Amino acid sequence: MTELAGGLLFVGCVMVMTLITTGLLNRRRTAAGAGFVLATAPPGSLLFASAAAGEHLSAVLLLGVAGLLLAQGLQALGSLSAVALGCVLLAVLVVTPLRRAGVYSYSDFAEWRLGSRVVRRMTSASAVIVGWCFLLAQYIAAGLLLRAFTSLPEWTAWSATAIVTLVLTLSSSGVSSTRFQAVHFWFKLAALALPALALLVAWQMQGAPRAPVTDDPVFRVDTEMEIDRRQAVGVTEPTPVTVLVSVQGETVATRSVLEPGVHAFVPGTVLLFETGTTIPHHVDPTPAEETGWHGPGPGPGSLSGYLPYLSVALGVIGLLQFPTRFYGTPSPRAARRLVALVAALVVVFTLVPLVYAMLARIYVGELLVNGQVDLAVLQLPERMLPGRSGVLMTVLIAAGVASAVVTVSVGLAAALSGTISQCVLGGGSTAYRWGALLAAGTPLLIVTAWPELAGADLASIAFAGLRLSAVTIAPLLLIGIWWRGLTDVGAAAGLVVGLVGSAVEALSANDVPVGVPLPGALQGPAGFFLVLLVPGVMIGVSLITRQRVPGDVLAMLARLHLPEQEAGRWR
Amino acid sequence: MNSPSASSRPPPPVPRRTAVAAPATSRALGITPEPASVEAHARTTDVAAHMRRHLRLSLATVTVAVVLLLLAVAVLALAPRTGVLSVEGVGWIRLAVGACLPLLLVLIIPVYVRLAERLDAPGSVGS
Repeated sequence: MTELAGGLLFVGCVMVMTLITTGLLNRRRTAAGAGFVLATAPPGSLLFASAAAGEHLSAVLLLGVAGLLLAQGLQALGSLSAVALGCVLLAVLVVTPLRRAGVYSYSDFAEWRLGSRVVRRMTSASAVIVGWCFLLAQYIAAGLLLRAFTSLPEWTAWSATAIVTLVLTLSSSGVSSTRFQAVHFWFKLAALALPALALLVAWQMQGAPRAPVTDDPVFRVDTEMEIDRRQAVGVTEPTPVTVLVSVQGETVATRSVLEPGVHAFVPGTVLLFETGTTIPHHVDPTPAEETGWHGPGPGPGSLSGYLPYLSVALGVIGLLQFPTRFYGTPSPRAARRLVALVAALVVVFTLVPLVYAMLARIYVGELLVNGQVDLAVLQLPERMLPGRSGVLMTVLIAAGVASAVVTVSVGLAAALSGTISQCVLGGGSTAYRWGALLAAGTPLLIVTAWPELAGADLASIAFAGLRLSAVTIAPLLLIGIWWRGLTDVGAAAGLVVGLVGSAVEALSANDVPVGVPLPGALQGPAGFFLVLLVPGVMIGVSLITRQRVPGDVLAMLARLHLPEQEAGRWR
Repeated sequence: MNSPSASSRPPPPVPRRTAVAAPATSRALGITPEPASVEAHARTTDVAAHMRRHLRLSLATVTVAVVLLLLAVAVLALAPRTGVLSVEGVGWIRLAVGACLPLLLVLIIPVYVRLAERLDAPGSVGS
């Protein structure tokens, strides 16, 4: 543990030094030329693409996706191709027109395209809620990191992340932000990919043990699991276990067999499992069913199977950091090329959690018992390689995750600050500072008020944000860019349906603090139909109110779609 | 020693940066959107046709991506046993979906970029 703490301290120092060096180099560059020259000489393509990709490689992608894969098996792999499909949609339908419009945020686009402050405010509300969901996931990941290595309370990590995010958001801008994000993208890639390769080599050297293909994994050694919160565990076959319960200060051991079904355990219970016993599965995240870890997902007729897929793909379109990044590119053509590079970098990175999940199923399958699957990546190196090499790799991974938390939080907070300050506070540098405070502070207040959220898996929180983005920002962009008939009333009606529908869906979930249960059979289809309903409402209401189509809509479409030399004739 | 032709060679052209202004900036600068002109109406066909060409290309690209995805689903639906086939302990169909499909999808984007740039090339936008 001392080695680990020392290693983490060392990596912390290295990260701070990297930040300072990046800042100093940038300051020297700034001093060498006038601000206008810098503004007209943007960074190179690779630097820009690294920065854009770096803002999206969050702790959710590193820890959350690996955890989801560990729990749900290769069925969850569809989420990775959904991210790639989202990148394709972004590249072919959104990026170039958005860059040609010259907007800095989705709210700017809404107001510019529809000429309505009301629609702008509604778009801002959607964007801010989506951003807070992702920021919340970053804060929870920071808490997870602290819980994994120290005994400090998680709120210290949440607060520290909020403060660091606020400071960096207020002190970085333009080129410095790009350089900062780009440096950290390569750091994250190295910190996560190198240990993954080393662990694959170690796995081969250990005889390449394999987990069962179709059955649940088994305990490799006698394992003791402490239940730290009330939870339900599902078993698929009779599972022998020794349960230790503290009764009036005395520990009572009871040997029993868990019959197939779901069993509830209270906090403080200790479970002892023998080697070779099938690992029971915590009910959240939902385990892979019937065909096992490698089996196919829901069949083609299952709407609930396609909802996550569609939500992730459309949700990617509405990610907040994109318009800001593409705004900084020298031309729409460059923006279009940039997104191809960004997509390639992101997809290469998504292969890393796959390696961790495959190994985690073999070596740290017991995390399935208490559902803390997000810890799999952090626990894997020391389990596979006890000793210094394991510690070194854990430190490297932890540093990569910390970097992901900080960089993504800064990117999100900067985008949110701009949106909040422009829409609510009237713009200006003072408003931006207040916006940054609100952007970074609100998720901190939320997670402090409902600490139970810290127990949720990271992927589900990010998924909530993607879902909202898929039913608000994505349809507004797609219809606003490609259909001249969209009106402010139509857009507003669609956004209301998306926001209210998402709120009802979120509140109907059983696992939120204020959850009102909705029949399970309705949850998946309701979400799926919302993705289809919102564009339908936008188009339907726009047709009814077609007299409200802006008078200069043709000029707007020309600016969105014509190449620069042609569009110039329209201005 | 530099030849006269080398010294008189014009400097490489600097990429032109397009001036853009967000709504807030436009308001600050006092720029108001120009009303649709008669000339603009006369060119309706021009913009609409260009939009249609781009939309067709975009939808074709998305269709290719979706077909690739559905192929994997179709294989699993038509032959469910392939889902649990394993090579060296790894379910290969699922692994293919997870690891190879995203790469394939991303490879579509450069092809799209090339075709879209061809559509945007000077002289290709019909009036």
